[in-house]
Amino acid sequence: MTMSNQVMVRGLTRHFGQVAAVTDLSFTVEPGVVTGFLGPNGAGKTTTLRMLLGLVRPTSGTATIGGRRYADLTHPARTVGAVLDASSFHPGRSARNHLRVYGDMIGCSERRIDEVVDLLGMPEFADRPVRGFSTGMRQRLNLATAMLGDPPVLVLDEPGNGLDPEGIAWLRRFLRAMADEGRTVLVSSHVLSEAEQMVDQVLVIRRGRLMSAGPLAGLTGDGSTLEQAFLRLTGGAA
Amino acid sequence: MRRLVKAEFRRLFTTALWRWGPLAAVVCGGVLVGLATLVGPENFEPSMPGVRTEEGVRTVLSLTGLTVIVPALFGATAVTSEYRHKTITFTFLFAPRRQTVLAAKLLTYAVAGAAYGLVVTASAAAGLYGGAALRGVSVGAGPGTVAELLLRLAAAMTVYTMLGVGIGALLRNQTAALAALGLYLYMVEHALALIPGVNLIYPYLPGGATAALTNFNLISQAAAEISVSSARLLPPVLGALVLAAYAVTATALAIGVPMRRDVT
Ligand SMILES: Nc1ncnc2c1ncn2[C@@H]1O[C@H](COP(=O)(O)OP(=O)(O)OP(=O)(O)O)[C@@H](O)[C@H]1O
Ligand SMILES: [Mg+2]
Repeated sequence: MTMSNQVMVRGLTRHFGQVAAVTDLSFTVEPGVVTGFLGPNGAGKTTTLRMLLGLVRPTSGTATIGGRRYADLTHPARTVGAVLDASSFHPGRSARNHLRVYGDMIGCSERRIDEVVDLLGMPEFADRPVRGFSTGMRQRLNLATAMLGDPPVLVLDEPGNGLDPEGIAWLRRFLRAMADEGRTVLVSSHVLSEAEQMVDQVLVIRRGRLMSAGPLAGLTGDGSTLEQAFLRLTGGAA
Repeated sequence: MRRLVKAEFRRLFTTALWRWGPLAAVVCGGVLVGLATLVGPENFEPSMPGVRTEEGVRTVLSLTGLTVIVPALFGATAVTSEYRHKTITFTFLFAPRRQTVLAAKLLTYAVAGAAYGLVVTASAAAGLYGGAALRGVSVGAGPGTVAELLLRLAAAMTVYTMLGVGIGALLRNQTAALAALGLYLYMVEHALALIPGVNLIYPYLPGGATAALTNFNLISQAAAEISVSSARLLPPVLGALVLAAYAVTATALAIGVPMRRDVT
């Protein structure tokens, strides 16, 4: 695929007062594979993804999608589908109406709403208010919202959080299918056993700095699990 | 922009909140005016001219003017509810030019506020004429006068809804919006009026502009003269424009500061 779907982070830095959340971070994410963005709690994953999406201002550095900052994209939600919160829905609104609101913002047809409802396996609960949704249902609605614009790039912050094994397996198949269609898929996680089965490429960060980047096999090739490799990299006890 | 406005209307009509709007409008309009007419201002404490007189009609209708904080709070939810439920993240992802989101909200809630104002005034008219008919008294003001007063009330409701959007965008929190509106409208401005010289600008302050729209009975005018000696209020149309300008200013300030903040 073209470089228009490449995610590029260069010298990205963000301080919150005294806290250096992200420091001089540089990496590139290619289309067609699932890239795991891994790091322990507080490593700076969410801050990085939010800077990539224009929600948090970098102290310095740049983050671009196809060479442009998110806010400068002509059709941002048709270029990048993003999920950042576990639940960011009005509790009284049905899933379908939530999708319609955001579909309206980018000119989606009712047919597209039906398509994403089907794609994410939500027909049974799409017309119920979000208030009563389980974690798994919320994650599906999150992904459905991200998919509205059929974007070539997916940026997902901890999409596996709170999912049961069946949900994780489903998510793995979904991400795999998205990458196989040629999309750029960037997913963060701090749960390594789960990430290990889901990703092709890994970016490991710790205390806001990049520790390792490359194919998953490069980290686990010596027979160690991703968890062992990760603890080695992040300085935890093995 | 058309897409964003469409989305805002859908946002509004796909939660239960909007169903409370017409109900609140009827309570603040029809029920309030109807009860006041049935009781009769002549039976108020202290006694006032009855609805048989024009002054009485002005008095019962002016009660509705005291409820402008209701549409303002409704307008504030346009923004505060997005922060509360974190939908603001998706909203800014789908429209990274954040000022367009606020502009769409302002437009949508101007229309919604006008609709609210129409329900308020239509039900207030029903309360006035219905209450008078029930008591067998005639309404002491011509239809033209009543229509003008109702129009002023509808305009007040509309601009206060917009003002609410601006305040909501500035404060991002519904309780803070309620506190700020309540404190300002019912306390700060009265205190300001006591400072010598401030009464010269009083007509241009939000309270003064509101008074130009809704203070159309002698009692409230007398009260205003005690606290704000010698201040002449603006004509109603100018009052409405001044309030709308405050709404736009609040929204513009919100674009300049809170809307540029990190969404974490
Ligand atoms: N708004 C903020 N204000 C102050 N500090 C912040 C803010 N957001 C993040 N931080 C700090 O920045 C660092 C990185 O946080 P971040 O949320 O990006 O980590 P993370 O890798 O996503 O962690 P987790 O796995 O727990 O989600 C942490 O030390 C955090 O306390
Ligand atoms: Mg995080």
